[in-house]
Amino acid sequence: MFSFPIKYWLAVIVALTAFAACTKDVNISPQAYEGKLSIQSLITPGKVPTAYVYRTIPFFDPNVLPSDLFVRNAVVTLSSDEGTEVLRPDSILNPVLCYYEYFYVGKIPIKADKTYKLTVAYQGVNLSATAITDRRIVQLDSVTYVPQFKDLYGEHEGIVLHFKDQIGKGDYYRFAMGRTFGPKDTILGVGKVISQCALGKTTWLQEIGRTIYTDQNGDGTAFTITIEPTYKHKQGQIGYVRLQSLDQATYVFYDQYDRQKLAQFNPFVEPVFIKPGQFGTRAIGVFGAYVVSDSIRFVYPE
Amino acid sequence: MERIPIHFLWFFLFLTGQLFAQNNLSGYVRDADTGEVLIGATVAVTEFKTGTTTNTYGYFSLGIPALGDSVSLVFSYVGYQPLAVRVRISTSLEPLKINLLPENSQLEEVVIKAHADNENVERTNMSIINLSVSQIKAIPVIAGERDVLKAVQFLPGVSAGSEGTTGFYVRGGNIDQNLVLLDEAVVYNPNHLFGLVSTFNVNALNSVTLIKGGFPAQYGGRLSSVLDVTMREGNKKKFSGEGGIGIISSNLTLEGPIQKDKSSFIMSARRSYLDLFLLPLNKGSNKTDYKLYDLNIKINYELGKKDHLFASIFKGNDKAQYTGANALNYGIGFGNSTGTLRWNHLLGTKVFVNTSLIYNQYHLGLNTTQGQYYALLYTQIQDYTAKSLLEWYPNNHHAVKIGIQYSQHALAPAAVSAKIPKKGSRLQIKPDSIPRSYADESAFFFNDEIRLGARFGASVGVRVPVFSSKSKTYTALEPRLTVKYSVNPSTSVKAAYTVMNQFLHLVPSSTASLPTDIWIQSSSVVKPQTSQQVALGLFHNFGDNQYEASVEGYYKNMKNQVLFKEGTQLLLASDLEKQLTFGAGNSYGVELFVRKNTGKLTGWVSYTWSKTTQTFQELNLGKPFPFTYDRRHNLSVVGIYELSKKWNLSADFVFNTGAAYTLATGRVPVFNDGTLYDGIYYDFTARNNYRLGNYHRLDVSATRHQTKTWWKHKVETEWVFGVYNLYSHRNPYFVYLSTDPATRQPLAKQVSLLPIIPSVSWHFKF
Repeated sequence: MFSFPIKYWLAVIVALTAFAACTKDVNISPQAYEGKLSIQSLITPGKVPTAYVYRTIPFFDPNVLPSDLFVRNAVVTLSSDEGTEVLRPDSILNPVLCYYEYFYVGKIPIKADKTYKLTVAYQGVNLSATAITDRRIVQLDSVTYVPQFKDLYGEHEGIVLHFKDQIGKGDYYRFAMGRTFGPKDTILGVGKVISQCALGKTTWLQEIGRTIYTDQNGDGTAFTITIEPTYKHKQGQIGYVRLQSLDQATYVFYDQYDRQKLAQFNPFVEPVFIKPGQFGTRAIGVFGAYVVSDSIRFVYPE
Repeated sequence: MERIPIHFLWFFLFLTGQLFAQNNLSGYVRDADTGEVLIGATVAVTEFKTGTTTNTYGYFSLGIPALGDSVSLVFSYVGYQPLAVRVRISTSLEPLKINLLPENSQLEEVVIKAHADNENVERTNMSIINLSVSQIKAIPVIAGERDVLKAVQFLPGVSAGSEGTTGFYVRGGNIDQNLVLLDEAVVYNPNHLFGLVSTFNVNALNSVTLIKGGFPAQYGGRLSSVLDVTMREGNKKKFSGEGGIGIISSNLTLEGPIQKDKSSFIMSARRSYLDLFLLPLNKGSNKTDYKLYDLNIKINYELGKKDHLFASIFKGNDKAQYTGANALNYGIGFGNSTGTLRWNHLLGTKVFVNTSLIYNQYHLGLNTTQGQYYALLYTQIQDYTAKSLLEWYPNNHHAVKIGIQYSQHALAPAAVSAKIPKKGSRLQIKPDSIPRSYADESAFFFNDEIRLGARFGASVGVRVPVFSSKSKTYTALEPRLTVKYSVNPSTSVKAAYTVMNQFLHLVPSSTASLPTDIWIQSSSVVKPQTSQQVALGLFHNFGDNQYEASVEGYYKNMKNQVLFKEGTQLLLASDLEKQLTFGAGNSYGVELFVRKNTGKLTGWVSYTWSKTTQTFQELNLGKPFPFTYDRRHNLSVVGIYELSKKWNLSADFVFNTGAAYTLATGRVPVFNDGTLYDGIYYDFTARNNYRLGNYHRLDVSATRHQTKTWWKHKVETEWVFGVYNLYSHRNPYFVYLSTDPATRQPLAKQVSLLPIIPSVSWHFKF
């Protein structure tokens, strides 16, 4: 005869009542939302200009793909004292997320020490911002590897960049690494989803560090920054590591994106509002300038 | 420069002159059965239509015009039979010892009755509500746990957090703005079980008073309220006890004389046993555990006719662990300890001095995991306090309180929030290695309750707090003023203006669903919180004082409110002060309160309409936003009905506008050359722009009283049958966002905690 002691029944009842957290989906009435443009354009000497122009959407809007949100009928112009160029729409396959991304691109390479003005004309409104291509390249001294280090994201391996900050405050640095993935490599993208687009192909991927480092507390000193690589790797695989030197507008903009992304995932962090930037209240965006160091060949030791 | 002392001298001479123009009667009012002091008992002189009330120690002093050789006094108190006595007046009067009989001691029916007086109309102070312990015991609460704070949450101007959050919110103030005192010791977190049950064991309590505005000058250090809880002294006549067994916990209170009529003790303990029941389920890594206990001990001793010593200690602890649901996964331990040593001394019949030495300690340690992130928090406060209060009753027109207070605070805050590492260990907080920050807080205060004729009264006071931390010293001046005009014996109008300062701050987290709050002190960066409050009220009794009613309106502004900056990620090495942002708050509202104190049906209806906003330069794009617990409508109905001499019925209903929370209104696509920035970001257009669903629930209970004889002793027993949240309304606890894996669409999910919870408990008293 099956018997279940009263103590166990009590335990079940107590557990069910005292700790019975109930979760259900709830409908939230959307609040009125005035759409804006999302503009990102970073220019660097020697490269043709690009500008990513998308539209923001109400929170529960079902459209989330670049093809849905790209603003095709904007007029995007880049001007300097040497003239004005109208940028044209183009696209490229994102091999990790497996969709095409759309952007505006020019033909005339950017020149150093110039002031550029980006203007996006859309639905009768002109949104513009300026950037100066006066960043100085800071070269990497060396790139090393540590199998373990601790940061906000726990304990993991790291690629270590060594360089010396140039004198004068207001320098902002970011990690960049390009790698080739062979046909037999499996790319684990964000969310550890195997990208079908990259399987069986040779794919070039660029990792850009999310964290931007400032020289506010170490002007002119030697810097060592440690980066957790994003994608899986094998011993002997090769990457080409560079150091980006950014302007302040770029730092301010991407820093708030970085902090918001953290707050989205971490329930213990206050939400971060994206504040109106260079383009005013009708757009969320940045128009900045940066330079890139020479690359250092890096071989994964494990 | 010399004018101030001269004026002070004149003032002193004036009062002294008044002193010699009258005789004084003084004494203590106590329960005749137990010798317990009665706090707030009314003393009326029938010939002169004047009177007073007893203080926290049951003491009164009353000026009598020198017109005869005797005078008639009437003593009355809620639940006690009024007592009329005629007292001979002599110049060497010793303190009177007045003993009042409980109303049910000679009546067949057990009826909660109050003396039919108009004290709420007559007294000068406003925004004060006294709760009797008998009422608190009768209100149905969760799992049969009789509770002070749940009763307080039913009062006007007070709102609760959502289930699972701690504390109560008064007139738009945060929970840290409530000064909770137990026998004068500060209790920083008066909650057990995440706010479902308070730390106060009602069997050990004598009185509970909530002050929301018009604060007398002896109170300070918090902006929004004072909850003054006084422990009983213990039965001076005979050994007795009471206790209860419920589904969550059991409690036992023992009390009795050490030396009859001279000294007594009371000891009260409570412990939960969820941990014992859950033992069979806690196998493997998933563990759910909860343990709480509290202990109150108080001893008092009459050294002589003029000296009285009290020693009381309180210790309460909670320890909980829950592993399972991804949205709610935690381990928490917190506790309060207090110790108070007090000395009452009478200087003649007009001066009462209370001197106290107080120790209190509060600590909270929390580790919690939600999704891929974890947070650790530890906060500790330790205070040593010495204070002395002199109460001077020179005549019937003045009741002067002068005092001085000193506290040393030691705080140890630390917090971490990080992603769960793929490998390796998580960060740890070691409480002993957290750097302590020390501060000194002292205050001088003066308050005079003035009676000007039959209609006018005023309470005039000033408090001067001084706070010194390592980096900064702050001095403030806090005027306190309440005026009263009696329209007639049953109606009065009152107005109050108060300035308050607060030097210890609880920095709340608006996002987490657990109490990840942390205490810090004022410094050169963190300025003291300050508030100014004005209140206006109309007080009216009707039905021969069976009903008391009031309407109060208030406006309060609060400066130097503190919150975490956007995106603050707490790290062990973080300098907390750099993670804070400062702003202002505004609150205004109207509170309606109707209470029936006598008859078979007692209880009250309370409704509050209020609006509270905050403005921070660095938050919400600098625009005002609703306070998280800004509840526009707050309705509470409490009813207690004596069905028969054996059965009591009680019910309460509560309705609150849902708490505010923040959701983005738009999404920002970022597709940027396949970089790690690619993704969808949130476009927040306003902070606290959404509301949780309205909170409402109905609780009911039925109590069966019996008197039995066990082992030749009379024992009163009670069975209490209760149902919490009778119609099982799924009240919102918090809302979080998730993403549909198929459509990649955001989903809103609401977590609710407490459905219908039936309970039964058994109580006894001998």
